[in-house]
Amino acid sequence: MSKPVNYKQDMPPPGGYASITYKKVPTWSPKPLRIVAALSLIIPVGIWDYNRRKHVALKSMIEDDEGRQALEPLMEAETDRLILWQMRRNRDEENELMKDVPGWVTGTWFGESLFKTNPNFDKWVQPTYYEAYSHTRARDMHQHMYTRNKIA
Amino acid sequence: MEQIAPVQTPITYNFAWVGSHAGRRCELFEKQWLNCASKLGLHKAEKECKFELQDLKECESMDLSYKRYMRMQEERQKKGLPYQDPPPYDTLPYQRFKNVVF
Repeated sequence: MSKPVNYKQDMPPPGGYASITYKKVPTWSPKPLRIVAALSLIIPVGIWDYNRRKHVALKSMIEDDEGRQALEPLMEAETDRLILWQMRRNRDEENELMKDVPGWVTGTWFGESLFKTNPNFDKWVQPTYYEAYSHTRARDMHQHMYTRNKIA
Repeated sequence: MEQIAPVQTPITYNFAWVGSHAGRRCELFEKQWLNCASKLGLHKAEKECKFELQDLKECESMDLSYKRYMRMQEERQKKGLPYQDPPPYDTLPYQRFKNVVF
């Protein structure tokens, strides 16, 4: 015995489904001669543009280099001034700090000079980071060291 | 330091910069030591140029300088004083490969 039908059966649309495309769809592709023609136009233009940009970049680099060379004495003088300023600051700080320590002489290790042939630093010796940053935090010193010398 | 090369080749002196202090921080002390020792020879220089060699080694290792640094930091921490502000970034020059052009 079959049950009574309570639903509507899905049927194809009126006029039937559209036909399936199984034939080759006609396409377009550039013709070989046209490819050759386009490339023979594009490639020389690209090479010309590349060379033009290369010359511009080279000129710019030369200009930068000349500017750097012109500023080099000034920058070096400013660096020297900064070092002298910092060493003077360190000396005053050390005088103040090591006042109570018996036998301590500023700029030496308990009276023993760092350099025996150059005891009073009459000839200039470039200070190291530990000397220039004696009274700052080690964290600041290391940060400056790494930032300046681009290590790590 | 001068290269100790048992065999001389055409490129021996092209690599003299490898252990050299020329153009670097300890240039002065190397120069002083070479000035002294090159006239006397190594065996005599051990006695005569003692201080020059000592200074060169001190400049390389910075032992006394490091001791001073540690002592001063210790003293500062003992007294509980505030730290100094760091100097500007450009105070010390870029030191590695200083004599290389670019």
